[in-house]
Amino acid sequence: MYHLKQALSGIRRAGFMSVACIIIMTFSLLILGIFLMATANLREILRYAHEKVEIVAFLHDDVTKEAADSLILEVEKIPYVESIRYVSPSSALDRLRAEFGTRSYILDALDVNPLPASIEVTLKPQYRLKARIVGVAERIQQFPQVEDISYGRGWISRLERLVRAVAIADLAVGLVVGIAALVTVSYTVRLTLYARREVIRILKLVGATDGFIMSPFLIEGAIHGLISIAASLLILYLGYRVIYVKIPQAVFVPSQLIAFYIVFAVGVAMLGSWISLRSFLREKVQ
Amino acid sequence: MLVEFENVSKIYEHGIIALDSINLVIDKGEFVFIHGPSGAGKTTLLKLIYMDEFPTSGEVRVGEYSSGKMSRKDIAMLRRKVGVVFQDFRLISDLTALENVAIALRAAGKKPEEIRKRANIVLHSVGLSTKRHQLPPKLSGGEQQRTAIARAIALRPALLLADEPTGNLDPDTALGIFDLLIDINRSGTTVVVATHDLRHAERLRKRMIRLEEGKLVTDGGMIGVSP
Ligand SMILES: Nc1ncnc2c1ncn2[C@@H]1O[C@H](COP(=O)(O)OP(=O)(O)O)[C@@H](O)[C@H]1O
Ligand SMILES: [Mg+2]
Repeated sequence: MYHLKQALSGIRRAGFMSVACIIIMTFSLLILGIFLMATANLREILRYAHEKVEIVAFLHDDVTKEAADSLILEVEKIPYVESIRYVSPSSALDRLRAEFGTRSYILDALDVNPLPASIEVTLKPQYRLKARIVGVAERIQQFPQVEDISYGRGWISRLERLVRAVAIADLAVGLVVGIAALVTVSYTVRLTLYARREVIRILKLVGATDGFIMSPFLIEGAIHGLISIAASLLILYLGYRVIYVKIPQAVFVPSQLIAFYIVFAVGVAMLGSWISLRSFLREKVQ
Repeated sequence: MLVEFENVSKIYEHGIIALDSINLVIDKGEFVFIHGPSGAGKTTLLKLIYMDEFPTSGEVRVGEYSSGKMSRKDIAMLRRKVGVVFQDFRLISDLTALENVAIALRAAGKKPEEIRKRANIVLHSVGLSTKRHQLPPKLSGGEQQRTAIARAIALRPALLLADEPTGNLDPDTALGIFDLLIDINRSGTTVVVATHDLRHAERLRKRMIRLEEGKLVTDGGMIGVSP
């Protein structure tokens, strides 16, 4: 209670600087938040893309239904495979019609169905990685019934690379934002420390421990961190709502990441206070 | 609490020798004056006792503590047993007299109930009961020093150090402060007073230690009076 009161009076004393500090921290954290949200959304797209990844094996025209069934039995034996679906030429045509929609009359002009039969192979989620997909696709390609094969091409691995790059960017931005917050808080707390210098000396003189002396200032730092993170989360969320109206698939920063984000803000703010405190505590009483 | 200086020298940066090979024992319950001209090393000697400075060579022992092995925690604990007052009082100007005393108790982790009780008792014992809710700037110099003394003895220290406690006070007020220090000493607290002003000290017939240029030149009876 005593420490909290001291901390609040410290913030009051710092006044303008406290407000400036909170604004700077809020915007620094907001930048980090935007990056985190961008990452979350890219991951979401990647997850969706991975879900869609399947290997399509087009069969030779002369492959009978029986030959197709035996192919399916063989492919089922390949590990990593989750499910296999047979698509007959006529159902392939129906799909195409659905895709063409109102312009499906174009297809009516065809006398014969030009589409081949195919099987669609889906891998178990944990194996939906570029390297695995290529491996399985190559094995399916070996079967005599198979004429051609198609699978999630270059764009998947490009997306994977992008997500990796953005994750690294997150770290870099986190580092820069962390340092900015650290400097701002330690500077602000330093002002409070200067104002309370005499009190600190007296506390040392009467035998206060370092912990007792530091507590109000660490709490002051933590309060700066908490206010800033709350403000930046609020702004970020409002921004998200605006985007959500246009892109309903957009996701917000996932909750574990929010927890990390809050801990990061408060931790950095307390560390900033502590950096300033250390030098003050080393000073002599007289 | 026993204070011992064993061959203590203190050399500040730029080679200023503040204390030179001091050997000294202050017994429990003693009242000692440290005197000597300005710059003789009196303040430094007190600082070495409350461990704001450490000897360049030699060893200072205060009760169970030794200058050779003090952690930050030890220093805090030592200072709860050693009260210190200064010429300039060192009060917090936006806290009342009572709150200034309470701070020492709070820093030592006392409970609010005990803090209130003890702070009132101590202020009463220095004769400031009626002024306890005043801010320091509203108090006279003598009253401010009494408040500072109350803060220094709030935790019932075994040792009270005073560095020129009457340096900012007129002679009559100074007399009152010395009387208070004598009272505190009578109740069992060891008192060490550094002063260059001997007008009152001589009358009190206490042990006098004289420092000159960092050296202990005389130790013993009262100046001009045989022990
Ligand atoms: N922190 C310090 N750094 C350097 N020199 C100091 C410091 N404190 C005191 N001195 C020097 O040490 C000598 C003794 O000072 P001090 O102990 O304050 O003497 P006194 O209290 O008897 O006047 C003086 O020459 C003073 O200038
Ligand atoms: Mg001095």
